[in-house]
Amino acid sequence: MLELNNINKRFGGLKAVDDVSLYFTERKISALIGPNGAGKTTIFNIISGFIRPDGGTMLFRSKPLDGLPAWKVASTGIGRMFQDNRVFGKLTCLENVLLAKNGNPGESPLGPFFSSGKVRDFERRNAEEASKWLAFVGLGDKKYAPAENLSYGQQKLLSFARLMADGRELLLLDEPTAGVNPAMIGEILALIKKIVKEAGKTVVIIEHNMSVILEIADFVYFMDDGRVETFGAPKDVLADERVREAYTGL
Amino acid sequence: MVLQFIVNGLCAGALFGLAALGLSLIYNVTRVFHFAHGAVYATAAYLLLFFVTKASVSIVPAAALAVALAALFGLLIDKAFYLPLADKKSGGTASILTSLGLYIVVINILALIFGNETKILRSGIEKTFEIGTVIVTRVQVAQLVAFLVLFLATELLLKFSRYGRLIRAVSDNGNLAEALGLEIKKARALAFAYGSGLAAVAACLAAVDVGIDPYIGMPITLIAAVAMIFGGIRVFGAAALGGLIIGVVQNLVVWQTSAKWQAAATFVILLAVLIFKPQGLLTPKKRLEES
Amino acid sequence: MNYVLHILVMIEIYLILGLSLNLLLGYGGLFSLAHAAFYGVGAYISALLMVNFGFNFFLALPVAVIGCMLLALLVALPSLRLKGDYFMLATLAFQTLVFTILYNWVPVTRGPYGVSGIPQPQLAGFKVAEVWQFAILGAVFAAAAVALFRKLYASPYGRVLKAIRDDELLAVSLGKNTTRFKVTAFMISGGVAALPGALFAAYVSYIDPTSFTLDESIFVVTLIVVGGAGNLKGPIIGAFIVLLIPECLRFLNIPDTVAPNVRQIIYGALIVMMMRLRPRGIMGDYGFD
Repeated sequence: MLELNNINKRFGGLKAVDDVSLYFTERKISALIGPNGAGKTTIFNIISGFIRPDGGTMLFRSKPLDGLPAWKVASTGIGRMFQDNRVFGKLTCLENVLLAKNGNPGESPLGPFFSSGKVRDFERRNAEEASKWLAFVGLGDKKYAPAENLSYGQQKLLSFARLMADGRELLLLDEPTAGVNPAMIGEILALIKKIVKEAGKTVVIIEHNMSVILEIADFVYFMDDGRVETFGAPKDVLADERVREAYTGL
Repeated sequence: MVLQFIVNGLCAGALFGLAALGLSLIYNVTRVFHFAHGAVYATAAYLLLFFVTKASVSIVPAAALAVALAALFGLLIDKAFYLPLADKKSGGTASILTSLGLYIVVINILALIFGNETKILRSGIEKTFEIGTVIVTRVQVAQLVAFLVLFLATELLLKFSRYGRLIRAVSDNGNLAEALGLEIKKARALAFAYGSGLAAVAACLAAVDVGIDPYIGMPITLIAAVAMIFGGIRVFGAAALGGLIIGVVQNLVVWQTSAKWQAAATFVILLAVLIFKPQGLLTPKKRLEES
Repeated sequence: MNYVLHILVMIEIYLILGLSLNLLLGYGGLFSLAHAAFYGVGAYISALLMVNFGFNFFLALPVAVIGCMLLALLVALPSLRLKGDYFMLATLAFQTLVFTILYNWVPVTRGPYGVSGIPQPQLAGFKVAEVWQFAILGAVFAAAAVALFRKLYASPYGRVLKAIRDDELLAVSLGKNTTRFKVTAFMISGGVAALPGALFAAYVSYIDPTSFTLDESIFVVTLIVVGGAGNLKGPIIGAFIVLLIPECLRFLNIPDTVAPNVRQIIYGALIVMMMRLRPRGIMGDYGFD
């Protein structure tokens, strides 16, 4: 589904990404692990289009991704969850989720005036689905609350609701379980497995929590110092000496 | 002929440079766009007017007093208005709006007290000097001297004094400054007092040169902003040089076209810089990393 | 009575200016100080078309709107590449440039002499000449603006603008072409500002550049700050309040020579107070931070 070939990125004197090639299979959960500063988030930023690589190519569903502006990458089908969980603070939870859908005819300034029927229908379906996902993650009663009033954990759930409503096929999740209390981690993992199995999405996660990796990842890439050091099935990669060293050396 | 315009430009630019240097110190340390800088500028000029005409103080001590009071005024503005807003997680719009509001209040109070018309400090012909084909007035010489002295003093203080280092440290580190344990409040106080003082010096010189009205503050602040951006915000001295350059450019525009396009020239410069080289002309090109 | 109607016309004008700037400032989070430039260009385009070429007011109007939309595009494209303070300064620069051109390009705009003899609007025998007739015309424009923005603010388009205001990066990552949203917001905002401009020109029958300065831009910002940003009622209430304040001053018998300065002091003080005590204004939804 997504293919990165020989990606390079240098920041000043630092080689953040060094000749990295990755392959993410459709309908599978792939993971990027590695110590801090290994280049994982940089890879995500390159895929999302926020950073331009110095070299290498990217193919999404066999079509080149290189040079596309970030919004276009997202509207082409690549969704993103950020390490510092982001929400639209002053907007209600419902509005946060409503925004996840692309192709909303009401988002054109002419839409509400010249296609009001279409807009109304779209919005109705959008709102139904959004309410469903909010209820699903347990934020049903917070539908009209401004997102900034929610606790950190609740905001994370909000991001997941947004993710579920997201029409995109490939989802990049940067440390989805970070800062979440252990009781909720199980729920979140179940959600991720659900969207892959039932909605047919492809997920790539960056994680530091090895038990999460073992539980949901189908394929793991281990990165260190900007390079892919090893890859394979979770059990094998986690048993690899280099990986053990990197994590206990932390 | 053109030389006269260039010299005029440098003398006018000297004042722009001082005001710009002051604004730059304030902006770098607090990141607030201090529209009220113009209010401090105007206040200094009117204080000078007051001391000279109403209190019969002679010009130099009057100016010194005006500068000192203006510096204090700038400091108070920060303490009373910007600092309370800085505590909240601020995006800055509230501070800019506050600054605008303050500017409007202050200059209209000045207008109420002193009147809306232009006032001149003293009448009579200014003494002039002739250097080759160029004629300069005594005030113009004072402007250049003041600029050179203060520019050098500021550069030296910034580089070598403890407070200068503090200001540079806070400017470089922005949000981290507090975490690094830097004395932000002190840096702010210094920046505001010193920066306002520089603007006040410029205001006094301008007052003696061309007179004052309550509305001179905003154009000066805007020119100072252009100078600051033009030279490069991070490099303090660049704002001062930017001021000189703008002064020269303005006068060359006058020479080539007419006085009415002066202001336009300044803003065309600003737009050109913002569009093509937002980091300023004198800043070393830094790698901009996207979020 | 005529005086009350006069105030009403002015309220209608500033209400429309406030609602249009609100799209940028309250919804988009874009601090533009260039609004008076669009107001002024709208006024000038319609005035010059009517005076020089005999255009009917209602024909000059759409031309002015389109002219302002193009100007907005011109301002938006370079300015929107800049962030925060730089963006604001760019709009300020454009505002000043437009004023300078209006003031100095004498062959076209008549510079400081202004455009006089602007005819009154008429359509199919109906002439808008009396103040009460202007008040009605203004009310029609205002109602149209309210209807337009009511729909736009509440639409998904408005929602995306708010999202961009809150976190542009996140909006981009959701596939929104944020630049296009901001540019279109600018164009709508600028285009609508032409309406009160044309109305003003026909109402006072003489315009000059001094009505369209940076101070005027700041005034529109003031009415939003006071009334509130980010919703429909804020700018409406703001227009009423800031225009009625000088009337209240009248009751205090403040001499005419100082009244303008006192009025400005009140406006300035209101901005400072609002930022300190109630950043979202009297009835707004969005508080400036």
